[in-house]
Amino acid sequence: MNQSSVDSVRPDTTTARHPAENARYPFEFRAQGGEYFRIWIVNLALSLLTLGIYSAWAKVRRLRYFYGSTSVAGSSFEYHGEPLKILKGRAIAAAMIVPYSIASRFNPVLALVLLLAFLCALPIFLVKSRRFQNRMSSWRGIRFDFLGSYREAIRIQIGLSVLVSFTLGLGYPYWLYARERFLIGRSSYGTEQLEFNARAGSYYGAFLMAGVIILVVIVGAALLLHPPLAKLNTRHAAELGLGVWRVIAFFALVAIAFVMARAVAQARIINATFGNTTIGGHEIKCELSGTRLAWISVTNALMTFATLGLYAPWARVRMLRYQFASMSLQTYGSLDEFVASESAQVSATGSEVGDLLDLDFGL
Amino acid sequence: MKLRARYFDGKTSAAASVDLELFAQGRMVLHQGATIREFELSQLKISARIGNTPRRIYLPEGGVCELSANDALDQWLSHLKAHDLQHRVFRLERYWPQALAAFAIAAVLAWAGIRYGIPALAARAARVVPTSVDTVLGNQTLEILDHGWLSASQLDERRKAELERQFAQLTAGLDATHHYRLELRHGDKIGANALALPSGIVILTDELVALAQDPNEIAAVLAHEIGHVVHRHALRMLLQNSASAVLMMAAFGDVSSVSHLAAAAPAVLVQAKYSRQFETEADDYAYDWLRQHHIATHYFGDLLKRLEKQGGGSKLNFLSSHPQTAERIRD
Repeated sequence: MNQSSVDSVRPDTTTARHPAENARYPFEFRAQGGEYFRIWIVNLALSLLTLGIYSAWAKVRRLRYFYGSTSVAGSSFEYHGEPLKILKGRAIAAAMIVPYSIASRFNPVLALVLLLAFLCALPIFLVKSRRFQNRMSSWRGIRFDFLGSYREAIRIQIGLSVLVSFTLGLGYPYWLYARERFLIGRSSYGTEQLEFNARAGSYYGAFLMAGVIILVVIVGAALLLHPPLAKLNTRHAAELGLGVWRVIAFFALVAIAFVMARAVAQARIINATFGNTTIGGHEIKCELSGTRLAWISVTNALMTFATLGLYAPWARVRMLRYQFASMSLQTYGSLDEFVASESAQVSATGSEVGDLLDLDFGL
Repeated sequence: MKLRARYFDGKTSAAASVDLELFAQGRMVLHQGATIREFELSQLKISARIGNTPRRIYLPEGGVCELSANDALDQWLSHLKAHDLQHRVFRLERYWPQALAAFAIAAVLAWAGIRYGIPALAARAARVVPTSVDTVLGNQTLEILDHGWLSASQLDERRKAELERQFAQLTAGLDATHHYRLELRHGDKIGANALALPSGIVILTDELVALAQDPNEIAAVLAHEIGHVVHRHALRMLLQNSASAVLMMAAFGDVSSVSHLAAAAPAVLVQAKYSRQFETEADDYAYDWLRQHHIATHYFGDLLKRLEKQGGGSKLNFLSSHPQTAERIRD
């Protein structure tokens, strides 16, 4: 451990300097729905008052709130993004996207050319975005970083997506896996590169499970609710009402099956992704339950809709609280030995392009 | 005042427990075991408070102290009058009355912006956009309509010529940049109807011609459609909808995916409202034209009533793209 800056300091035995070896630290998320609602609504009011200029400050406040609310092993995360940089990134991103959205209405050929150019540039945005996000995040005074190269990004984002379309989507779970391996495996905390040990099989397993759920529910519901056709033909008109209810029940079951399947796949993928990530030998554990995830997302969506969007801040906090509650850090040895690395400046443009297009670039 | 904090040197992740002693003159003393270091407030950078998340005090040598005693730290900063602008934002966020007042302001601003601001800006912007853009806006619409929605008009040549003459009279002396043209069609799937394309093409269906009991009724409908073109509603609709979409994104983008669904509902309502405003503007144009040509204005209402009787108007006023017929009929 580098002690040059604190060598005048006596070892302090009362602190967490030498935590018990092989400890399990749960992730804690202390944000509250009401508190976040107030932050959100003030952000919104100020953004409207300043014709959108404040939105960069709003974004920083929101992220600082969420990062600061998340802690593990007694220390919280910190977001370092600077509003002015984000504002600049946003302006550049808008300047790139607006011509395309105008062209898409008036000039399909130009729009297609711009879209192709954009798709080619996507891997670069992916790398820049991830690099910005990681470098703007820290824990215990040490920043994260991203070391992925453009070449790797191009291979995954363009090369593998061609493969996905050639295999009629069968390659999709592999693409997802390769992307996470790139985004997480190339991330680092200080000088320590994260290790991504998940296997592509887990991703296929998640999709397979989702497929099985949908298939079983559809077949089961069809068998239970569908009366033999011959019988239906002889029914009286009054009994046809029952038939309508059966159809409604059938589609309701199918809808539930899709929500369930999606949540189960999502939970399995998140578990496989984060649960197989290690940092300097310490393991992240992730034990999301598909049913809980489905329940939370369905009730959140219903409440948000019923309150015309006002519940959204509570919904966001509720979801994150559950996700972090299912995560923990299993340490093997001390957490004190990560060393900071030197890193250059990075612009916010890539990350803002991702934001504007609603691309899921991470976190 | 003494506060507990965790100290990180910025070089390694090692955590050290420290005490921070804050003095009224703006001096901070850091006790780490037996080691004591002194700082002036001007040397320190203190993170702004957000909710009750931990605060950070950045030391000049690159180290940082993390502490959760927010109130005590704020008390010290207030005493020294060292709070920055961001702390005012925190004061708004801290309590419900202030936050709800901010909400009320946001709601009023959003409403006023959508109701008056965006339409006014769009109208102004439309004046700058050359009329040639209008031609591009709907240049494929007629082809699309002719494929499966409309078929050739079955009116006889004399009736067609009569309608053309009427249309020429209506468009005489209008701006030369729009190429006004009447297209007569049989309205297979859309029935009795009239449509205006932004380039100046007005489509009139045989069914509507049959429904009209007086040439003045046709004139009123054609004037309404020409009103859409003259006021460049297609372009303004495009501008208004894009602007309101950006506004909604700004409002709900923060709270992410669950709200996409919830944000879609107000967007639909806003677009329906804009559409009704444009219909009213086109009605105004039609009524003005009738008055200028000393034609009784009831002709327009007569046709609207017959159209409604035939089609069966919707009762969902706030969702409808047109104002209710009763509101549109004027004397």
